[in-house]
Parts: sequence; C-alpha cells; structure tokens
Amino acid sequence: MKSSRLLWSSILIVAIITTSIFIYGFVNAIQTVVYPNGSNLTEPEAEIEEEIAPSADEIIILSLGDSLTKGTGDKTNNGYVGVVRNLLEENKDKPVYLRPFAVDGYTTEQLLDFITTQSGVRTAIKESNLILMTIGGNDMFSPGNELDLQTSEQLMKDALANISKVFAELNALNAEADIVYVGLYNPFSEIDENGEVALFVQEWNHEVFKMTTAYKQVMFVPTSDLFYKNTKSFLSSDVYHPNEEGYKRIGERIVNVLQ
Amino acid sequence: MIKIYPLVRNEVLKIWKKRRFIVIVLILAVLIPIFTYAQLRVALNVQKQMGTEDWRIVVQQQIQDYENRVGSPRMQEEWKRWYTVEIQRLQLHLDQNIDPNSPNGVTFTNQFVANSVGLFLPLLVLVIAADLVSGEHSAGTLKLLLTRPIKRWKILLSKYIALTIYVSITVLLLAIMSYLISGIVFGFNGWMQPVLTGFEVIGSDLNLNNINSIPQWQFLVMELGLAWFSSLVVACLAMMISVLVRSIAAGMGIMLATLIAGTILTNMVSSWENAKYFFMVNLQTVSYLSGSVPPIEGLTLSFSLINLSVWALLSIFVSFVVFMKRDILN
Repeated sequence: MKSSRLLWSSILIVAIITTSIFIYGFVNAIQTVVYPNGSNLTEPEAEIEEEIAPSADEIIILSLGDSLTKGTGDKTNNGYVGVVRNLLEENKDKPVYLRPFAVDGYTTEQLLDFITTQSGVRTAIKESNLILMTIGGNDMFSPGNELDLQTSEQLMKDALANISKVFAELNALNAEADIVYVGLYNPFSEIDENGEVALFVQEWNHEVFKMTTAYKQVMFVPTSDLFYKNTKSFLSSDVYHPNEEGYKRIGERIVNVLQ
Repeated sequence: MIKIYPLVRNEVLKIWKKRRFIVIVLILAVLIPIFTYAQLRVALNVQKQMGTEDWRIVVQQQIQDYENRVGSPRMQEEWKRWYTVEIQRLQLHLDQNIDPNSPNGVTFTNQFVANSVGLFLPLLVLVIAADLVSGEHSAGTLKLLLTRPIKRWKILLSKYIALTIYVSITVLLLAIMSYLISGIVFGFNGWMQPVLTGFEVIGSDLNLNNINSIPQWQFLVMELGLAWFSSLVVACLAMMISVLVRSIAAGMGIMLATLIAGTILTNMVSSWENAKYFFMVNLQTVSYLSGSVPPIEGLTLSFSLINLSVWALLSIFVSFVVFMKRDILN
C-alpha cells in the first residue's frame, strides 16, 4: 500500500507540473501565432567579415552562374562541373569538394547581387580553391524566344559592365583561387547561315576575355570551337544546353587548362 | 457521495499496473537512437559533399538548390509553393544570422516533436487509451465497477482525468528521452540559442511582419504545448471508440486506420478543400510555429485548434451519453 501511495503522489505531482507547463506553452503558442504583436527582430548588426584563406590541403570547387554551370541538359545533372570534379579527384590525392551555387536563368545582375549581398556564398568564395562560372547568356538570349541580335547587342553593354564588377568582387574576396570563366558557344549554328550569331558570340567572348587579362588568376576558357561541327550531337533536346557529351568536352578542356 | 479523487487515483494505478508505460519507454528507447543516427548521417553526408560545417554555406546552397527546383518546368504547383516559402524562411535565417538546424540535443528534440505530432505521438497515446473502457468489458471488470454505488459519469470522468495525466507524462517522456539520447551525440546545449517563429504563410508568401526571435527553450515549450493538445484530442477520440466498440483489437484498428489515413490525406488533399474538416489533417499544429506550408490552403492554427476542439468535445459527449445509457448485462 505504501509503495502505491508513493507512486500515486509522484505521478500526480509530475502530471500537475508538466500539464501546467504544457498549458502555458499552448497559450503562449496561440499568442505568438494567432495574436501576433509585431516583430522583435532588429536589423542584424553588420557582420564583420572574417578573414578566411583557402586551404592547401583540399580542393574546394565553387560553381557560380547559370544553367550551363548547373548542368541543365545533362541527364546525370552533373554538367561540366561534375566532370571537372571527377577528373580532379582522379588526378590529385587531395579531397575534392563541390559547392554548387549556380541557378537556372541567372543573369549577370542576379549573380552580382548574389555575391555582394549573401554572406553564405561570400564565405564559400573565400574558402574556395577553384571557381567555375558561366554567366551572360541569359542577359542576351533566352531559350524559346525569337533571336534578335539588335536587342542582344544593346543588352550586351550592361551585361559586360556587371561581369566586370563580378570579377572585381571575386578578386576582392579571394585573390588566390583559380577562377575559370567558361566562354559562350553558338548553339544556333545550324540556323545561323551568314554567321551573324557566331560573330556576335565571338564579340562577347572577346570582350570578356579582355576583362580577364586584368587578373592573373582569372582564366577565360573558350568553348565555341567545341560546338562548331555536329553541333546537334553535343546539344540536349532543348537544342540550347549541351548534353552529357557536350559537357564532357567542356569539362575536359577546363582540366587541361588547369594542369 | 463519493468524491472523484479516489476514483482517479484508482484509474491511474490501474493503468500503471498494466505496464503499458514500459511499452512506451521501450518504443522510444529503440526508435530515438535510430532517428538520431539518421540525423547524424545526414549531417555527415552534407559535410562529405561540401567539405564544410559552416551552416551559412550549407543553407545558402540549399536556397540555390530550391531556386532551381522552383524554376523547373516539371515541378508541381504545390511543391513550387512549398519551395518558395522555404526559400524565404531560409533567407530570413541567413539575414538574421540564425542557424535553422544547429546540431544539438534541443534542436533535435524540437524537430522530433514536430515530426511526431502527426502520427508517432498519437500512436503512443493509443497504447494507453485504446482499451480504457473496452478492456474492462473483456476482463469483465466493468460490471464489478458499475455495481458499486457510484454514478457512472463519475467513473467515466475519472478515466478521462487519468488519461489526461498519462498523456502529459507521455509527451514529457518523449521530450526528455529524445533530448537525453540525441544529446549524447549532438551535445546537450542549445537552450538559449535563438530561433525564429511567428511566420504566416499567405499563398506562396511568408508574412514577415510578426517574426519573433525567441530562445529555443521557449519554442520547445510552445511546441510541446501544441503537441500535448493534439495528443489529448487523439486520446479523447480513442476513448470514444473504446466506449463504442467492445473489442480492443477492433477499436485499436479503427483508430490506427483513421490516423494513418490522416497522414496519407495530408500528402494528397491539397486540392480538396473540404478535407480540412477531418481532424487528422489538423493534428500537425506544431508546423504553424516554424512556418511550413499547411497541407491544405487556408488552414491556420486557429482553424485547426477549433476543429480539434469540436471533434474532442463531440467525442466526449458521445462517450458520456453512450456510457451512461448502455445496458451492461450482456
């Protein structure tokens, strides 16, 4: 009888205490969600950006930019970045990590905004040993839209101005990492009878190349020659993005440049 | 006139002697380590892929990944909505410099309670509640109980109070065991760490006007309060079934089927708006705290709580009416 009395009183005490806590929590939750009373958030203090240097014991690949870097069109979804990563992993005895930050449809403006305002990617940039990027295509062409070189020509100026800022920002964040800008190719070569688009693409590539010469760690890797012949066999079903084979060639070229 | 107090005491001790509680402890002791291990694997895997533990990099990458998913033309509309809301929620965490899933025992407990409230916690409650009345039928003890000069409603009321006591202890036990077990792996700190709450999902937008940053212990207490309420509603319904159906197995089966149907429904009803009147889709009251998209558009915390209360009150009413009028001789 004694033990059951002890049991009963302990159960009762525990139950009364927990039930009161739960009722308090329940009421508190209703107040917070149903009868909210404004926000108590303050402007976060401007973060003091830490000094981080890339480590020499590992290879951190950071990918930035648009769908070409994300790997759209590749059924395995790795894109050329995946190819580079795998090849580096085979060749080097350091661990290789990949941090994919590319987003379909990104324009130069979005990329610039992304790397100047987002603390997560800024930290990631500082830590990287290799930055792979494509950007600019979406500023001037968009898949599915009618090709209009005159508009594209006008859009090019702004896009180039943004890219120049992107390079400056990357260089400010991390002056040691190899930065690879993958050049544009001409996906329309089969309908481009008098070579207008090819010329336009080449003009773009040339302008970007000129900018890269200002930084010794920024490399321009051309790709347009890879898609000269049999263009369709290297493009995916949207006839715009490369397929596995196309990405493989881009990736292999980048690794060749890096070695 | 016999007071209700000794009756409650009697019921509580009867449930304790049935050793149901050991079953609950054992279930938790087996399952929580499994969930802890799964969580650890996820963390290790992210680290292996990205080569970092810096949460800002991981969250940033997650946002980019979600943006790609939202942009994908094959993505279903409702998933797009989910991802859009999630992007805004994560972005706010980045802006406020608050890690949404910092690895520690308290965070694990938070997430475990949030994931348990729809099915796991109700099942634990069923272990105790399912045979409170029907069990006395099978054992033949109900006749003995009812031949005493005690009003029937007092007997049933004492059972309800005893059940409430055990629901409280079960929820507490779940929280304590999950904290202790996961704490061994993730560490026991994290009580004061800030978390964000007060999100309101409007369409595919998050209303950020009422967001509050609160210490994690307070979040946990609010979460437990809501989980306790959901469990209590399930307990009331289980009690009604136990009064109505004499076979323990049948009663248990009915409740199980209903609860599992609920989890299936929450995954597919987004287009069937009237499904929001089922109690099962309203059980996940906790999700309103952390700002996830409700299973059906238009569900809000107040709707869910009112809905659950109505179900619970109806079930209590039915139980009392049936229990008082029932002929127990056969």
